[in-house]
Amino acid sequence: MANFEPKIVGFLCNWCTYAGADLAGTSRMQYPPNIRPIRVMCSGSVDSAYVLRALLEGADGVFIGGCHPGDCHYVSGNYKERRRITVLKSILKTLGLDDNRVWIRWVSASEGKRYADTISEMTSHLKKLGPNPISKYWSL
Amino acid sequence: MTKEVVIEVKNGKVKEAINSFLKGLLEKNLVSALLVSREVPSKDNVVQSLVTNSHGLKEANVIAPVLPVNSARIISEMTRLSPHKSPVGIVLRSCEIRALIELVKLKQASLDNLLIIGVDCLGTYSVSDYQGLCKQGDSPLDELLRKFKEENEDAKLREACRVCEYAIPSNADLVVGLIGVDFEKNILLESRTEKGEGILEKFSFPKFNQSKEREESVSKYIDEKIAKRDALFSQTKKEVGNWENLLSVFSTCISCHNCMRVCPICYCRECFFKSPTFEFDSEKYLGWAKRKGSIKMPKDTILFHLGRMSHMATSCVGCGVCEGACPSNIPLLRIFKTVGHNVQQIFKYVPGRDLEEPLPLTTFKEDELQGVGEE
Amino acid sequence: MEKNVGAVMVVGGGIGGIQASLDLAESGFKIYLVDKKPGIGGVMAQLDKTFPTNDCSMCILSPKLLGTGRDENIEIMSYTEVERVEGEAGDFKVTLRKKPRYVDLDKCTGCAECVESCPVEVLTEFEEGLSNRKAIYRLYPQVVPNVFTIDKNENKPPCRLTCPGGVNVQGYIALISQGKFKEAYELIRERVPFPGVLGRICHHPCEEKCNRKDFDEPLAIASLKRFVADYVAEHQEELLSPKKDEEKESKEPPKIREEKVAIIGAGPAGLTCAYDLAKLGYKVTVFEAQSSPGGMMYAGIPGYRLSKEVLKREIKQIEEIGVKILLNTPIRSKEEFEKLRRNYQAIFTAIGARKSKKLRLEGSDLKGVLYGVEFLKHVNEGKEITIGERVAVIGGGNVAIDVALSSLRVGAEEVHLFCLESREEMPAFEWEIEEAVREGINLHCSRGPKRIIGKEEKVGGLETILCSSVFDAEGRFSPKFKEKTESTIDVDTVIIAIGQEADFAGFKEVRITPHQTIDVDKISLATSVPGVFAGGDVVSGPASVIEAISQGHEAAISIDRSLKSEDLIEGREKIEEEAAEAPEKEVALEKREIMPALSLQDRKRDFKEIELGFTEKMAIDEAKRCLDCGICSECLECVKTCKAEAILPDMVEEKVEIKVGSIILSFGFDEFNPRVKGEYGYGRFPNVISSIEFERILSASGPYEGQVVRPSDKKLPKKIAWIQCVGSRDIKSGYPYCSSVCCMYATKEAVIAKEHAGSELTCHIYFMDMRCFGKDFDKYYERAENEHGIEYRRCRVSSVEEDLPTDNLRIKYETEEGNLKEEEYDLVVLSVGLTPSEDVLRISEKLGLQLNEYNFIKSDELFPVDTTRKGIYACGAILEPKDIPETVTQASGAAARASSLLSSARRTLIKEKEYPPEIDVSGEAPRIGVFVCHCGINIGGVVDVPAVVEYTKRLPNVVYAEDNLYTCSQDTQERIKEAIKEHKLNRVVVASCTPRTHEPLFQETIREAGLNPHLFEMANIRDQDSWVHMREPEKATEKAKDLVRMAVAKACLIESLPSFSSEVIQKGLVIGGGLAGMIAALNIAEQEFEVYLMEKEAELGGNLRNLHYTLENEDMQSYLKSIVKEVEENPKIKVYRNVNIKSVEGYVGNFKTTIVQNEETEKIELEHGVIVVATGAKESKPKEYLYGEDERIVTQLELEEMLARPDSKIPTLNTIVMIQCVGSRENERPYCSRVCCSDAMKNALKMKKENPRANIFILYRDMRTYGFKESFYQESREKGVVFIRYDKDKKPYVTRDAEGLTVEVLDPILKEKLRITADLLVLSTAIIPNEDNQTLAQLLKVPLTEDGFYLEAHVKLRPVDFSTRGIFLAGMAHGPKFIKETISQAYAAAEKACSVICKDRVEAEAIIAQVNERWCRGCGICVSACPYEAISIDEETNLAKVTEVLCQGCGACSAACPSGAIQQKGFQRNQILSMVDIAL
Repeated sequence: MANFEPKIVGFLCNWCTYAGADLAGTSRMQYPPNIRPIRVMCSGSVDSAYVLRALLEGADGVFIGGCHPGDCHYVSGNYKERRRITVLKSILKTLGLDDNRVWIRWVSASEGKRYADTISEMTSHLKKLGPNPISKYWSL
Repeated sequence: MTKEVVIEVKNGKVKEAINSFLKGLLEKNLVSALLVSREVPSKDNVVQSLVTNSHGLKEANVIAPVLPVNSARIISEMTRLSPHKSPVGIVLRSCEIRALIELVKLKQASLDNLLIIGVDCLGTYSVSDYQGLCKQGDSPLDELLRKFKEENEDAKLREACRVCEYAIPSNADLVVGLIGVDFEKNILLESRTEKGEGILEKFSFPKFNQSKEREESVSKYIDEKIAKRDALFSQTKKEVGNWENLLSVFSTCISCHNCMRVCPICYCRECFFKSPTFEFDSEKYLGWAKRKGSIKMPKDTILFHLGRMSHMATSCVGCGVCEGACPSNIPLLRIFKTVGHNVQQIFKYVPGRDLEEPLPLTTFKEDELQGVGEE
Repeated sequence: MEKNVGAVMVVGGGIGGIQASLDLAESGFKIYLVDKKPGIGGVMAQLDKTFPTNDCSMCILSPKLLGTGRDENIEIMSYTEVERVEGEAGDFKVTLRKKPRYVDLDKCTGCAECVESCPVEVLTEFEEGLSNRKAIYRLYPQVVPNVFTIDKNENKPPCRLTCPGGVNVQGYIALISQGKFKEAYELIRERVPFPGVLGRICHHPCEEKCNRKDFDEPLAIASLKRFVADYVAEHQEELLSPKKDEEKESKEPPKIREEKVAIIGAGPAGLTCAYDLAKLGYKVTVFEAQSSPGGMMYAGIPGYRLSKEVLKREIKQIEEIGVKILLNTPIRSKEEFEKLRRNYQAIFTAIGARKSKKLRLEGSDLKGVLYGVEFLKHVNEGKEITIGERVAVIGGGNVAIDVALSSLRVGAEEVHLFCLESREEMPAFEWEIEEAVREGINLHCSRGPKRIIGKEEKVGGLETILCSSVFDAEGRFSPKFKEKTESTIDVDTVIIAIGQEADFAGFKEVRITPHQTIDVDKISLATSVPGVFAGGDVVSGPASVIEAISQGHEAAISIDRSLKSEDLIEGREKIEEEAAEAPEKEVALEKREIMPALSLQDRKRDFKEIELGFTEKMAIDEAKRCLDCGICSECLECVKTCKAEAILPDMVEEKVEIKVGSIILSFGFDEFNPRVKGEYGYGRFPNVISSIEFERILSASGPYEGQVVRPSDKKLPKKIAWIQCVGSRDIKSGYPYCSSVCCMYATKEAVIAKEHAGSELTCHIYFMDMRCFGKDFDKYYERAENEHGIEYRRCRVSSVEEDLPTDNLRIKYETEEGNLKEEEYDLVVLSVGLTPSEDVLRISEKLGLQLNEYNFIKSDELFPVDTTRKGIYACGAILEPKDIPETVTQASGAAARASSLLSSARRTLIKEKEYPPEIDVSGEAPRIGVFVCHCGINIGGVVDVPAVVEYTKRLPNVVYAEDNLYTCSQDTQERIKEAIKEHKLNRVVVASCTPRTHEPLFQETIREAGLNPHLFEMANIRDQDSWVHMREPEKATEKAKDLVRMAVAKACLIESLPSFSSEVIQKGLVIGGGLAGMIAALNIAEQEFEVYLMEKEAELGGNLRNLHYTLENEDMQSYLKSIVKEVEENPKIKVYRNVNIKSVEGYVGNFKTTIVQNEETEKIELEHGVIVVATGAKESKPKEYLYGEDERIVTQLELEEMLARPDSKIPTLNTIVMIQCVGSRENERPYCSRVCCSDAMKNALKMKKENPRANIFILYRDMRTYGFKESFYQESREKGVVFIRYDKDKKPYVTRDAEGLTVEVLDPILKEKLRITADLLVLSTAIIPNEDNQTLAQLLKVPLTEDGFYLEAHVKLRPVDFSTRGIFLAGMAHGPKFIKETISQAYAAAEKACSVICKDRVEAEAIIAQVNERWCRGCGICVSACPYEAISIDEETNLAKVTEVLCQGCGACSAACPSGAIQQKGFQRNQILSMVDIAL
């Protein structure tokens, strides 16, 4: 799996994590090019179906980035998402899909480094984990 | 509020004893109608009926061990647009009441003017088993009561029932008790609410004096069920707790969505996973197949099941009607029950326990799950 | 009133200024937001987190920053200062000074490419000097406007200023430090054509002036110049790579000029002039008498100092640009000269001074007597020379030394040098003399030649005589010799080198001076003959090469001007310029690099160069020693790098005039400079830092990337101490007031530090009183102490000392009990106070404003945001130290004052843009145009942009794709519009930077082309691709393709989104007729809107009715009367008394409130657009301390009432005890009531005034007289009020008997129980919320805090708003506060209210939720998910319904809805899912 490059779909909230990811860029912090970010207004708008869809279509990882608890631009979206993703991860875990393929992290607008570090960490974690097993069984 | 009385059982005819009480409710005008399950003319199944006169109760069999439908759906249908204006009695099993409570939280049903009569549930057979027993000439109810008395678990009971720890209804106004009661002679009738107590006051049933025995039996019975449930969880984990097996299990899904249609929690007008969002043109299917080598058709069946799970698992009451409705014999009950249990545990949430308890995904606490997202 | 100008100038772009600007723009005024810094954001941008919510400061600020930057009616004038204000309220004329930022605001894209190229590093102000930035910089990455600024010292660096040739020394040194040798070389050659020559032989006056000399040694400037010249010569081939040709092509070819210029003399002056003129396009011919060009550079400088090769090389380069040099072509006669004059339009005479001065002396005709210049010429021409073994050289100048050393090399065994001057007076450069001595020349100073002794017709010896003085009193050459000091030396050769002069043969027509030089105009170098100029040694006498070069330049300028018939002199007068001082920064001492040289053995008899030149490493190391005195080095590398051509090196300061109706000042505060408190060691000990520095250390984007490490060794500290009140409550250092925010920020910093470092970290806070007087502050403090384990030490710190090997610090302190203690820490943070901004004096003077005793802007308690000049308002910390929410509140308050002043001019100056009618694209198949940006090289340098474009063209529904150098540039906007028309595009995708900053721009563009702005999508291929994957260009390209594909996939599904608005009832409702309510109603009325004011009681006034005087003001009752009268008489205010609210329906712009009077049956229905909640709070009646059981026990309000009575008996009382915190800061009521400490002070001072002998004891927990109220605490102590502290768990105990009251309290200092017999006990009781808050909150659907006060939308930045639009909050309903604070807040709420009702319609966001009724089952999940009360279940349909104007578009409902019935427009599920699908 030395050449395995995991594919990560990211959902970044507009106000904190997307801004943090931009800051990583402004600061020229380097991280692996494996994530395909999708901007959403609030982490609280990230539907479980998005995450499931990504995993079932073969994403090796799904990243959800929101504001730190208490910082949500929309008061409480991140608290709601925290529950939603916790539920989803529990489902995945019960069903035997490594729930560590789904990462939810709070990254603020000033944490460019945390964003870069997190994506690096997630990429190397997924490299260790190997490809999403579903890709072997498309025909099922 | 709690008052325990007995209904005398004549000749071991439990069903008739209950019906006599129900009849009394109608005759005393305590309710204007009753929702009960009634045997079909061929006697090999039951249907839910809204009955307004005692004549209609003749075929009633509220403890028939079969669950062709979870009545919570029916009550939702009846009360969603407007609550009842006069009292209506509904006779339900625990899983039905619990689902009903969830639906009320979801504004899909109203408890206004409903008199909830719960019955102890000793388990149900699948419709085909029920019919099979009938064909053999046995009364499935008698069969069940006999086995129960012998403390001999009936292996034919649906899996949902074999592992159900909610035999005793909660959130009912009145409960008809069978467990820990010598039902060949007496059955228990217990009021749980003021409304229920008011009803009992209109009758002159003798007092129940075996509370302690019942309590002990119930607790022993539930403990056994919990042990069985836990065994099921670990077995499920072994069977479907890996991706390959899960794919195999779900790959036979024909996308009929029966499971969703019978689910007492799935209240959507139409499932999101059936919506135009998941309709694609031919090129797109071909594109997928080309990129991946092969794709399973119909597509997105697993997405449907997992997606549905993500929507309703927090409220899943484990009634298992989904499994009964599945033409492909997918072991939905054990999967949903296990997933549901794990998810509910996170928030210490028990579906149907309390009307005031908000649904886990409609609320949050600032100081919970603090590790999440901070790693 | 007609003349009012509908514009406001806001000075200061911190959070206060931003808020005031946003509010006023929203209210229909044009705003000029002026900030002297290059961008806005203020101190808040520097903060890491904000208390008490620990919000990320940048996260909450940056939306406001972007909003300000984006607002069409806010003109941000950064890097601008106020120069003058004329006129009066309503009509001011302001003159502004726009400082040059050297960057074109409109062209700079903020791409930061220039930063890489900039060689100069200085300390970053934003990081409080904890890290470096470049000379071209922006304040911080998220700054608005997002453009760069060049930081340039007003003065030139001394090196550059000193250089006669005007070489940009700092520039090329900076380039060398970056290894950019070729660039450095080119920069030098812009001014001098002889870098290699000068690098060897220049006498470098620049080095003497180098500021580095004050630290260790000046830079080796000449040696660096030599290095680059040699480096470039050696690496010619690689440096002349094809890239260079490209550059050449791109440069415009120089203009060819027809005029011909003759230059006489190919020395440094002549050649420089030729070089300059040739570059200007003139045809230049140089006439040289000798057989080699170079003048004295060739003939006068021996090869061991300057290799002939170097000279040849550099002259060849001059020839290469078209200068013709004719050798052996002397101009020796008048005829020849005239001929030149006929054939050439101008002549530059630079013939030098090449004739040795003769020495008339006995024996000077002897064979063996030589002259210096001629000798050197022979040597340098490599001619055979016969010289004896023993040589005497006469002369003390540089030529003499060169002669001496050359003699050694051509065969002399022994060389003696005689000069009249003493060693110190010798005119030769010191380093040359030293070199001569080292090589073995025998120096004979102060000895003049008397005669040359002949021997067989040849030189046999030299007799010399002691010279006692060389110059007379006037400094003229007039040597005096001492008799009888003759001595003789045996020599066979004497070389005379006592000076040179010019040979004027052929130049008789030009006027010659008595000093035998050509007479020229000092500035233009014009001679007496028209068209003839002269320069170099022939004008100045023998001088240095660089001086000759300088004259060459000047001559070139004159010739150019004269040929263009321009004035020769204008603008060329030399102005005495001051040299820049070394910028403030840390300088690590480091001596200069030593020039490697040949060993003594290796240099004899040989003309090889002695000095070997620096190595690359030496050059870079040496260059890095430069202090960058000019800051920007003007190396112009940024100009080359900037593809947007945004750098304007010649920008100059500009004066701008604006007209405004009002001015709001909000330029904040300065931090106290902790160096003043020497005992704490700030500035001396690296690990003693200021709190703002620590704030940057905590910040994830700070200098250490959020790692909590200490500056000295970057190690994680294990123990940190905070010292409070540094520069606050400190009469000695001149800051007696309390800075109000430090207790909380120190607590916050400690909490965050603990969060970063975990339990490993110990945090101690040394303090006097904990002043946590704000909403929820006390809870924060308690959590810090109890949950986070932060230890608070009530004591005084006497000093901080450093422990040398460890860099640790020892704090010496005195405990409350008076014990001296010591403790060691890794890091000490000084909680510095807020001092008046340094601009306050300057600006207040310009504006004619008064300051208060502390040098803050003066305002009045009852007019808290007014200055002493009408029409000029102020907010924030320029009035008094305060925290963010109070600043924001005041900002809105100041906006309210300005709005009411200018309400007649509302909407007169704002822009309302008109757009073409929108094209209906519904039902059309998507036709997508994609524009992929290179962003200069920011994207294009990493991502293969053309490949992305090609790829894009093949994507479904894409009908057009192109790449742009800058998609955001003005011309590209036009191209996009054209493309929309030409290709009938109905969707546009831009792949460039981040939508967060640029989406609005592009949306605007497509709107101008008739498309709905939401038919737009962006792919972020810069910030989240090219910039972060710079080392993986292929993968970055793949990612760019994916991102574009995803954007296109979404674009296929996006739709036009209509903008929603609903009608506004332009009236307000104010609930509560106390001070806050009345002030709010009055302001709304002043802004010319009708307002209902309802009061549940029979009388207006609320708590104010119980107040009689304040600390600052004597007569509150008459104030109350005047306000009530104003309210009652205002025709726009309709007052309802004795009323209660029955119901509130509707939403922003359209509320319907039903009220009833006295519970009578008749209901009154009020229709209005906004609501201000100003229901107040009240004083609690305590249960503690026997209250109610004895009439001698009263509350503070009751005491005030008693004191106000004319027959008050209070002055007769002897002993009065006050107990603070009665019912506040308790477990069941864990908040501070804020006003009680000051109230106690107020009443105590009042009593002391009436009866100075009264004994007053105040029992307190923390004295919370924040801000300027501290002075009353001070005064109370001075007047003898006794303050005794008690702990929460050791409360005072009160008993009573017939005699009186006894109060027992444990004195924490004496550790003893005190018993005080009191005549009166006064309880400072809590302020508690009204009981009916709950009911009203439910009616309004707004939240309350745990304590029962109203909870605002955001405690920091939305202090008077509720989350629900259209409902605002003011006064004590929000929490306990003073009159002044209540008034500010009431103004603020009024401003917010008016900003809604000043419009006919209220706009909704376009990206909002939308219900598909076919799918909705009315479950209400969306209702519970919505934080804004924007969704409800319709009673009739049982389906969800969105109130558009309340929806903020977060999408929470959409994610919660299982059926997809409610969706977020612009982020619909099918759109997002299509992106997911296509990404994989």
